[in-house]
Amino acid sequence: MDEMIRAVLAEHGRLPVDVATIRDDDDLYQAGMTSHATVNVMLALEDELDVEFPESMLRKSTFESITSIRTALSELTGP
Amino acid sequence: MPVYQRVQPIPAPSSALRSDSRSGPDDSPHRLPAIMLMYSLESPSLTEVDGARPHSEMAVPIRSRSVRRVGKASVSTDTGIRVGADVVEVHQVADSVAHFGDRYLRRIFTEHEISSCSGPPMVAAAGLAARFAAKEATIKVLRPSGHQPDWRCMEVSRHPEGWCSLSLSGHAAVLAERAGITELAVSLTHEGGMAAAVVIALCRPLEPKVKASSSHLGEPCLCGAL
Repeated sequence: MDEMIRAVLAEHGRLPVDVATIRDDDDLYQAGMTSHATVNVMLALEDELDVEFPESMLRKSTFESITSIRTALSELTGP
Repeated sequence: MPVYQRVQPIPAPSSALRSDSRSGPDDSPHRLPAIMLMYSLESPSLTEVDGARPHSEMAVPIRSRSVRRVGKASVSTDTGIRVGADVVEVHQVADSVAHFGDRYLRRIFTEHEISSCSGPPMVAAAGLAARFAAKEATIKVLRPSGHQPDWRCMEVSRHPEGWCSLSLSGHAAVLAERAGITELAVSLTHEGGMAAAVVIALCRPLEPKVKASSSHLGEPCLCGAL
């Protein structure tokens, strides 16, 4: 899962730093991810896992770190 | 069906108020945000600016963001105006349309917004980018403490005369109602590969929160002044 998240961030996150240097709990917005890039990350994650983020998950905290993205995807995909 | 809608622009103020040299001679309603900002910065009590009376439509209490000492009571004066702004690179939106296609468009924009942004890809992308900036600026104005509204709950409408307005529905309308927002104005622009939007909201006067530091409360007339 983490590898896929990092691949999506590398392709769509438009981060000014190498994703490999970002730790799981680092703040992606502090690292330079914009709100529009977040949309692309969201859509790419949905494509990867065939899920859809509901409105209730559209919050900054959902996408603010690799850990939080992993948690959100786990909720969407189930155990 | 929107539960909250604000689509009418406030009429342009009198010529005396258009003397703001920072904004040029344009008479369009899009000038209003700059003038309103002038009020919020320079005339919290909305009495007179450069000798001119404020337009009646704008005669809402615009309060300072501060705590005032009155007698021995602290009067918390929440702000009566909110501003949000956002900027988006046009090529990023063009890339998203190229990569995700219809799914990107229909996840973020309404039918009206999509149909308003036709033409060559970069021209359409500029309009879409400005609208995305408007949605993000609106979120900044709504200040959600929980989840943010779906982007399609915030619709930019382009009118034949060229000006734009905002319509809120769903969770966005709920947040606006909770914030006491009574007026919304939006202005979009794009130039040199960048698109930007500014959203201004007026909130209805709120009851001042008075904390007495002793048995003496502030004078009753203060409630009306806030």
